[in-house]
Amino acid sequence: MSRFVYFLLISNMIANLIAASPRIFFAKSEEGAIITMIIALFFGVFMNWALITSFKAFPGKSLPQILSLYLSKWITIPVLIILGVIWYVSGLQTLITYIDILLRFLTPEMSVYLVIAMFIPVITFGIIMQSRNILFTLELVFVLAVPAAAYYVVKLYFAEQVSWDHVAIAMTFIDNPPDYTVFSTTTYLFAGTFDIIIFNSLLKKKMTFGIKQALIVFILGAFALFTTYFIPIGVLGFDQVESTLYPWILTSDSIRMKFGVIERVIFIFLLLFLAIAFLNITIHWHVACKLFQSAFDIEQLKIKWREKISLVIMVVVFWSIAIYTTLKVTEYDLFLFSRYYFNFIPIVMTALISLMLVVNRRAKS
Amino acid sequence: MDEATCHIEPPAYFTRLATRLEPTADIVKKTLKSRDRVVHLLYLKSVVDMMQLQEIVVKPFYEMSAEQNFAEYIQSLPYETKMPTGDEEVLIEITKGNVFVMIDKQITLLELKIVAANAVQEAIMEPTIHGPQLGLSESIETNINVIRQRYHKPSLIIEPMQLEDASNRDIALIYDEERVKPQLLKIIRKRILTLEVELVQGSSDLQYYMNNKKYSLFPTSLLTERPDRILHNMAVGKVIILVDGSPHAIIAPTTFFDFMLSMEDAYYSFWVVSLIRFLRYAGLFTCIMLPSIYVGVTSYTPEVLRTELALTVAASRIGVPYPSFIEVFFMLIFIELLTEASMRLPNSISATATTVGGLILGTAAVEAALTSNIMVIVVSLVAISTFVIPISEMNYAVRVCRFLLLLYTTAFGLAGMVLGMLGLLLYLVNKDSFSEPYLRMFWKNRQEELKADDS
Repeated sequence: MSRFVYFLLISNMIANLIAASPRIFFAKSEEGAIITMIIALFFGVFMNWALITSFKAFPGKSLPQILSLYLSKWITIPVLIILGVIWYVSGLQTLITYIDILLRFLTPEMSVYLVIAMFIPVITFGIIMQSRNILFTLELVFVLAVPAAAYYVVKLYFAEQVSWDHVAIAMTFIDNPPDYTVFSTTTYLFAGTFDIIIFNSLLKKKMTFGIKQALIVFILGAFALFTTYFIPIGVLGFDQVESTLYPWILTSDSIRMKFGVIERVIFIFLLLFLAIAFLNITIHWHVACKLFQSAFDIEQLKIKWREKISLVIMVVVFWSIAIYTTLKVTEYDLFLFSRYYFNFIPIVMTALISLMLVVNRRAKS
Repeated sequence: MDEATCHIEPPAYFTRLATRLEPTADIVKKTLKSRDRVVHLLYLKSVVDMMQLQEIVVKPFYEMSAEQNFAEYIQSLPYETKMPTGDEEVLIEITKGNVFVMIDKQITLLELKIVAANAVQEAIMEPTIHGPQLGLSESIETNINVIRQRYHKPSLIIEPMQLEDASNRDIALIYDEERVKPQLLKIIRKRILTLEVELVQGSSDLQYYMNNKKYSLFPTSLLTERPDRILHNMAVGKVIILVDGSPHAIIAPTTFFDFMLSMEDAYYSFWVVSLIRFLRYAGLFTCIMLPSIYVGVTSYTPEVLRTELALTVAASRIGVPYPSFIEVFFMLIFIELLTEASMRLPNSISATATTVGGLILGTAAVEAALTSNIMVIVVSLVAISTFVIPISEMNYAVRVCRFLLLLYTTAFGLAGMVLGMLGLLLYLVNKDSFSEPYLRMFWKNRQEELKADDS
């Protein structure tokens, strides 16, 4: 697999820490969260394998290109639109969550309009960039963020506040029956790879997904899940963790750097995650943008500046919906909608892969 | 041409060229005559080496016996330049310092030019302790000589070009044929030939015009005066552009990391270089972000700093009558003025200006409670770390960036600063230099990854 695929995967995993997923896990912590996570972990790796393998036959081609080659327009267009909406909502969810977090924890006096305005120019620029450059940016941000992130993770695991007894208590609930919402939320952690439906057009080398790659994805997923689930339990306590709104923010805020210029780890966390969340939004919206562009087949239109006009329309629509929902949606709604959205994800993944199976079969014959 | 008069009167072609040059004072029309032999010379005495002309043309003319011999002699001289077609081109050659020699119908151009500024200069802009101490000269021939002297390979190609501007300046593309990408050469040639400018003064403004965008902030090609940097870049397949009369060479294409590279990095051991590089990048981030961090931390989220430090900062700002961003803008503009002033002044005065500006005004500003002590530290740190960036064009670009980031932070706080930095990163990644990506990471093999992009 190209290293960019790992970056996409990891960025999605990390971005999920701040989103609604930890809360969903903790809400079900006494109802089989752990066993579901283990099952979903395998399912996620399997999905990654299936996706990469199904794209193996089409190096350097994105999903819209592949679909238009082998399927009729009547199937392609709705599929692309549905996928576009899903990717858009994925970015939107991260955006709303992060705006909410910024307003609550970093700059409480700032108006919500100002916070939205802060994101608009940068994200817009990110969306209309070339796909290749988005991957390069992703890589650069990773390289810049790794030292801080590594420090943060080490700090978390070795913090005195982490009570491993509480982790042990949580582990005793391993024998409860699995839960679908937890399953779908965990699956969503692995959705990062699915961005290759667009970015595959840049990955010209043939990708392989063997034991080694599967192991890497598995370890990444297991580590992300373990950290997401057990560290807040260890810090906040098994009984209390359910009642917190943003468990990860509180977890970060309970750890301090005794000798640092910055004392509270939360600020490193917030700013680091701002970068990751921003990338996540940009990537997802870029993918959505490309999907819509190919769904409406703008290449065929005979208008001057068709590329630019379509981008302008897209950006305006994206932001209008984003601003409207950010202003309207309450925290409760956000949690609820996120759950609905997550529940939808495994179905979409499976459907997409079945579609790719059909395409693969047609390509062979 | 009139056969009968050609031995006594200058031929028509000669006269035609001479009349076109006529009004100028330094034109010399000479007819050498010895028995029945006649040679017509036309040159500009301000650009021709008189001694050489005397030694090579005039003296042998009177010492030789038969006329045929002299014509052959002139043709055999190593100084001959290719005869262009068209009057205009011949005239340009004459103004460059060629001597127009006409013997009967045989016309020859002899390159006997004298260039006043062909001494190799010391490297001032990019000094290093090790490595070559001398840079380039202001004459293109000397510069080519400097490069050839260090790069003995038949694949080193020197491709002369002439600008279509007012000054008809000579420029040369220099590259290693085996390493350069043909596509890149094509782009650069096209860029140069399609330039529409009145006058190119030297490599600095050619670099700007080649950038192709009026409002771009970051340089897409690099100006250097160091031969080792030229070779370093040529060896990885880049193209060097020399302009006659300019002591700088243009290197294209360039990536962001090229601007952060000092040639000295090649001359030290690994750990020393790692430390220096770390310092350099730390300096880069400091000089871009520090003013914004100050604004973000003092005006938006003081709780980021540990309590004692936050209190120190707050205490230091007691008495400062305006918000932090005005303070920062004020001090930054002050330091920019100081930098500009000390750059433009002669060396002996600039030291005084810096002392007066830096020390006395700084202290006075703090005592007058116009700014805080910490702000003075921040600003000095920013000014110092700006100079860590080895290439001055990047230096200027970064100075502009600093203000843009400061504006974004002033509007949106610390989160705005992070987003602003990301925006800057996006801008840099999205930029390209002669269709090569400007900023990207290379892990394994640079060439291999570039190839993977193309395939």
